[in-house]
Amino acid sequence: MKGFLEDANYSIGLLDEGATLGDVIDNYVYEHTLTGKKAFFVGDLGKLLKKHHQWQNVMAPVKPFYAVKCNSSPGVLEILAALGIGFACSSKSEMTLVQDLGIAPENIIYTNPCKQASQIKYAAKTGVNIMTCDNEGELKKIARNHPSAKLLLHIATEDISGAEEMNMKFGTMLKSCRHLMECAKELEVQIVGVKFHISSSCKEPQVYIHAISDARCVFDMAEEFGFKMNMLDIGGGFTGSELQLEEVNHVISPLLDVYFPEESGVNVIAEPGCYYVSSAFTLAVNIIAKKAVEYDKFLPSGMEQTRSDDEPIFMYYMNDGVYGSFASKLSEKFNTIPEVHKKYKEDEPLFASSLWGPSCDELDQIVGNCLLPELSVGDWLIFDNMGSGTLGQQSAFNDFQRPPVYYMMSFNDWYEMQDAGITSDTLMKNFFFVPSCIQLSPEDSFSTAA
Amino acid sequence: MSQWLGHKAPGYLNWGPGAQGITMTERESLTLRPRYCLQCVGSQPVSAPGNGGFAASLQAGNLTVFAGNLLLPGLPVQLDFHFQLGPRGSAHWHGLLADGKLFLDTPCGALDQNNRESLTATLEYVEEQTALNLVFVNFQLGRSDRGDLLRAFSYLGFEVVRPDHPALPPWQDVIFMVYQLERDCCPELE
Repeated sequence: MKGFLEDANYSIGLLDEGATLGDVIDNYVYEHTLTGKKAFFVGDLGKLLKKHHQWQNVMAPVKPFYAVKCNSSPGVLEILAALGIGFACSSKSEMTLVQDLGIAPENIIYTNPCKQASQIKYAAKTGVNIMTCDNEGELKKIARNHPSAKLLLHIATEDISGAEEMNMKFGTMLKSCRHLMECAKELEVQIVGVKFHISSSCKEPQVYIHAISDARCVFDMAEEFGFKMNMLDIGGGFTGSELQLEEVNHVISPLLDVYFPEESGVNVIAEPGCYYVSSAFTLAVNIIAKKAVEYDKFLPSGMEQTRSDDEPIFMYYMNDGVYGSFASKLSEKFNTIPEVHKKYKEDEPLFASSLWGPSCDELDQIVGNCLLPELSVGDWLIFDNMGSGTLGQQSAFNDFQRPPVYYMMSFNDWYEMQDAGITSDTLMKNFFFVPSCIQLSPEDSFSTAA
Repeated sequence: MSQWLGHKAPGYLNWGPGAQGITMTERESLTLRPRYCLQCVGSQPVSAPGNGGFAASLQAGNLTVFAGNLLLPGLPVQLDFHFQLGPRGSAHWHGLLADGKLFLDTPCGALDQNNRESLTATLEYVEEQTALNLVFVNFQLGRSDRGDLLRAFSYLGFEVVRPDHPALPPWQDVIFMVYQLERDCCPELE
């Protein structure tokens, strides 16, 4: 697995009270400024614990299976493994990563919509039996390569996000379920449950209502065929917002009570990914080039036409972009405006600015239009909420050198973790203590992560 | 054909009679795009470099694979995948095979429910009937469904490739996404 062995010796800085995430960032900015100004991530693993508590408070008894694709960095996987949650994997390398952490195969589900035969065989070999399926071709492929697989029939949900064009529909239509079940029966493959997925932009109550009642129909149909159904997977699409989680729970709780009550013996699971990691990671990037453009000569898309003076517009180029950590910008709206790391006066004038990645590609734009004080080459920008879609498994073909990741956790979070009995041997040896009373000077620095 | 595709199991191959193959001169290379599928183009364009016919075809279920002539080793060869959608016609993925990599053009309507099967059937064919490890899809930057394509391909396991990667053909105004086949490195033990 590319990258895993190099990261195996990561460390987690344990912060004394008084030391904050901001201090950690300051320290690495200082260190990196002296050594080439490479971009870097800081991951606050304590945030993962907090998100887990929140999940348990709001969404219990829905058991989370963390979507590994979202962020498979070792610190994240170790903490989540220690928490005892399940894992949803989409490739052989992800399954291997998770199994190397000692996760039992019953706690792993295989959720790629188009599985490779070699991946299915690997799942069979290592005892990963629960996998999703939404079409006949996939069913036949699974039957050939893992006849004792246990399938979650992935059903389609409404797409209300308003897109005019057809979206690649994942999930089978209800009317095709009967045929799929006939095929499964013929191929002697077991169906044990249903999955649906509702993206974060479609999380309206009606979508969940229809999805859960459709799932009930499929369960009833399956029982006609003699399948023993015991699992309902409500998918992911949880952004991390507590409000969203509570709203979803508010809608599904009564529905589950009606359609899948506890007595029915159906285990309800979910596949949160972004939910756990998004807010835990911060990315610091450096400005490597700057261009001042006169307003009347250049109007980037999205700029307001309210200016009549000749203030310049600044284009800043950073040392990370859409072909690196900002890949999700290509397909989704990216609304984060970074923080400027250096201190500047309150009354410092702000200028219309745009932020670009380091390639000369027209697609490599990260922020189209924001107001920032004038910055210089060598200045640092800090992006929050960069944990999702940035640190997943890279294919061997992709030669992008990821920014290093520095993990930290506040002492309070660590203490709570101990208190709750959440621990693992591998995890414990990775911690080192960072007292806040030490004055950070050129001679002092945190141990650098791999 | 079997030599350069690395065929493992000739099995059900059904060699169709070939028309005149696509001609490639030594000058032509990956600057050529996969083109001129007879079924997509109503009539032969006058400026086509070849006749558009194929040297061989194979049938695998609903998938028909058409291959162009291999004139000289090292030159790219056209490889097309036509998937039968029943009465609705077929979905076509036109490709170029070069240096162990398959580059596929993304058709319009690639994202409809039925068309997704055409891609998964193609990938399944590549995994089970060839020794290729890398499959690339590409689509125009300016496509209105660009965001959807990026998300959907990414969900299937494709990753965006940086445009200046040396392994990519020099095609303008397209995005490439790569799919890695995770083949077994060790033989299966029962």
